[in-house]
Amino acid sequence: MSTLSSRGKAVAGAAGAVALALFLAACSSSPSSSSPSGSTGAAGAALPAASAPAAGEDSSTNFVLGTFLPLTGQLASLGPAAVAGAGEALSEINAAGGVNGKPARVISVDSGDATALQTIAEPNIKKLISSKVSAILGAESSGVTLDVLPTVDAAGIVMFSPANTSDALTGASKWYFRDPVPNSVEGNVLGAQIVADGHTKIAILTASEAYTTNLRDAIQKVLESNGASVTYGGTGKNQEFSQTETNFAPIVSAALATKPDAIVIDAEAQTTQILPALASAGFAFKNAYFIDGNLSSYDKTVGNLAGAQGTAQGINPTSDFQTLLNNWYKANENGATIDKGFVYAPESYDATIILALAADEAGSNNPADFVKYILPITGAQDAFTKNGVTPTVTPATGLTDVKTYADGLAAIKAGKQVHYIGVTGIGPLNSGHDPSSGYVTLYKFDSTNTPQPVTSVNSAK
Amino acid sequence: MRNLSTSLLRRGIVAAAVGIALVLGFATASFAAGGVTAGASCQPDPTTACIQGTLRDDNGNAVAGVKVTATDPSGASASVTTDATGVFKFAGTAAGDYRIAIDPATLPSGVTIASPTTTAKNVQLGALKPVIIALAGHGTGSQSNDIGPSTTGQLVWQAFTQGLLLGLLLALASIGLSLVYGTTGISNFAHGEQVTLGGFMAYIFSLQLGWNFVLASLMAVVVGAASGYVQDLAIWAPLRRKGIGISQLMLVSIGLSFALQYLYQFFFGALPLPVTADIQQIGGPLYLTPSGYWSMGVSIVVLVLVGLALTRTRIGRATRAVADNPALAAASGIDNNRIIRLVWTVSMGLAALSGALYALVNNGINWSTGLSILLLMFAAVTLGGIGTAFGALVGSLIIGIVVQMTGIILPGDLKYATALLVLIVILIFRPQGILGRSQRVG
Repeated sequence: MSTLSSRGKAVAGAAGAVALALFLAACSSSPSSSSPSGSTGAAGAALPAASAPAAGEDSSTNFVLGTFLPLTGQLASLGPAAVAGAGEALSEINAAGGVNGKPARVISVDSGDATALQTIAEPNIKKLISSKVSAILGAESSGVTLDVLPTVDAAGIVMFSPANTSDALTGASKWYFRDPVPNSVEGNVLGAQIVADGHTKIAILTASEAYTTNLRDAIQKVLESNGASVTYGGTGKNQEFSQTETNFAPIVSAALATKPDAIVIDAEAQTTQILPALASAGFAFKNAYFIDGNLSSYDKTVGNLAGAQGTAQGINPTSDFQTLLNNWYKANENGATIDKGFVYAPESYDATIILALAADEAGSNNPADFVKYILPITGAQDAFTKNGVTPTVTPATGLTDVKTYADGLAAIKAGKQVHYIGVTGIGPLNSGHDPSSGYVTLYKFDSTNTPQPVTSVNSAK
Repeated sequence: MRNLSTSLLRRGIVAAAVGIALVLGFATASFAAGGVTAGASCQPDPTTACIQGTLRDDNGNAVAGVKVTATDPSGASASVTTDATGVFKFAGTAAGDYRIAIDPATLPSGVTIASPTTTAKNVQLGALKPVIIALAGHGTGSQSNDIGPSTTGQLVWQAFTQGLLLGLLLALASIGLSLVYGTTGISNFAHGEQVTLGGFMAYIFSLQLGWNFVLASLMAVVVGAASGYVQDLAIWAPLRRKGIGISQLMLVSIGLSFALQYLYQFFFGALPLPVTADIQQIGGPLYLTPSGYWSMGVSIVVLVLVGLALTRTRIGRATRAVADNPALAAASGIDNNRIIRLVWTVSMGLAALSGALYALVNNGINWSTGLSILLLMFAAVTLGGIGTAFGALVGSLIIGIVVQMTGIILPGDLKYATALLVLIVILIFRPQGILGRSQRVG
């Protein structure tokens, strides 16, 4: 009886696993449209300036941008800024006459995060591919991009990320581009700042994920080369925590047992649970450092963050640009405001315009035609002729510098090749399709738990 | 932009004040030698390197008013005194090695320095070069900032008490799981979502509506219990009546689990939501926050009450009768369906309480929290002896302590795996679980 019942259980277990798989597959056909706090309504429903394609409209007729940004998951707090960046860019593109003479269209799907690859990211990327989009804007999470890139690569569609920072994505595919500088550059700036603040023993609370572990490696390298040491969470110490971890008191006490004088919180949404655990243990946040993946304003419920610092790729946008994005967001997202900061909004805006200008220059909305125009538009002149050679990083000559889509379109119509100088201030994309130089901004939290930009450093890779 | 230009202006003034030689260095690009200036507002750019350090005593507190001199590769030098935060900062216009010297005479009494000069190696233009200056000792008034466990013993003890806390909260949730299994035979995969529900209800009543946390968690229990009642009424009782098999019922619960997770994500978003606005300090013999102690106390009291109810009351005895032999129980006049309805109601109420307390001690709850501890609950229930209430308690405590204590040495990704490993090992030697009775064959 007992063996029988245990075999029965095993069968039931197997049946459960199959059912689970079936259920996952069933879930995947419906795009997730949950709305994280702060962004109400799915982005796709709300881009009147660049509406969804009508029947029969795809990359063979119109420039169709597929936005693949995080509306749910660990990075959802960064989603609204990128949505607004792309939305504002599309509004400007269509106000200037569209792409190749026809209005640009948009299909918005959720990229989710690296914990929901099978349920959100993968089915949604397939949806974009089957809709024959011209280009995909996303993902924000490096882990998501690494997962879906082979699919995108096989389909031959341009994928341009406004937020991927993992070094593993350098030169990942001929279809893949990005405009933030990689983690190694952010790690340089953050690591140097930590040591300059007089800290020599640093604990890094690292989530186990492509982006956070890669950034941790970069920070650790800089810390150690400057004479500081990593006491907890270092490479190879196996002290990363799972992305589904919810219980941080033991992790915090293990980290504090190494007597660090500063702590880097190298995690995403889990930060809202890590911070109170640190505060409960008596940690002073002036010795805490944030990364781009968790640099946003926090509720007072997590503790008083005044004096904590953090870095993020990109330049802090001017207040004019912020107003522009906020107005777009209010008008198109049911009056909601961008309340979690503007990290990756400029990157998203610039990426959208670069893609549209490439399509204009190629005279085609088909990614196979315009992919080779992307590098020159960022200023990399050599990319055309010397395939495989690192393009020059000095300002290109022979290209017409433009700062807006309208100017770029006019120049292209006049038969010129353009170099788009955008909001992000990045250098030309190099042969690995990374920006050859770009900004990293250092932020400091004020007494309202909001990160305020301190300096923007332009650094080369 | 205005910041940048004023800082440039300020730097310009400082540069002018330091010496004409420097200005000459700027003007004649053929000289490789640059210059070094005090640069409190230094920003790295293609022609400027910033060199910065912060003087801290052995308590990690800033040491102000110390004279620091920097000498650049060409031999030019500049001095600053550290500011109130202990920071000294220089702007250099040449790449290479810089010599940083501390004037020991300006150190406060009690603070000493072993080697007053340090070399900032390989300073590069366009970047911030950090310098470490090691100081020993501290002056009067410098408080110790020592936090966290100081010995391995303390660390292990803290992990143990964390395990105890986790175990008690798991027990609150898994007793319900065990009772439902015992009376209906269903392995309820949606039980984790009932825990999550409790956390979210506590969030709504406590943070959104501003109720006292005790009242909020009571309401969470009421909502949880009601959801158990309605669930049995609407789903499980009809399925039972139709004689649906156990594995199909389990699949229904898996479906319910997914549906609830995505429903939560839809309504509450993906980010963890806190259930209280207070930050409490850890303390006392168990190194827990006051809410940690309260959660432990509440768990123990509730678990004892449930245990007493099961053994000492008529309804409790009826419940155990249904669990032992439903047919016999029905034949002896027990209304099985009423008992099962009650079990669902109480179990889901307990799960909600567990969720509210879990969210309290872990600073928040998100849509997948319940799922993340579901496997631990299954492990606890199976380990203790499936279908037995006290077994669930023992199993939960073992699982909670094993998970937290192995977390000290094992990779964080693996700490939940150890719980399941323990489960396998114990089941090999004691298939019926620790407190479960071995089944008679035939």
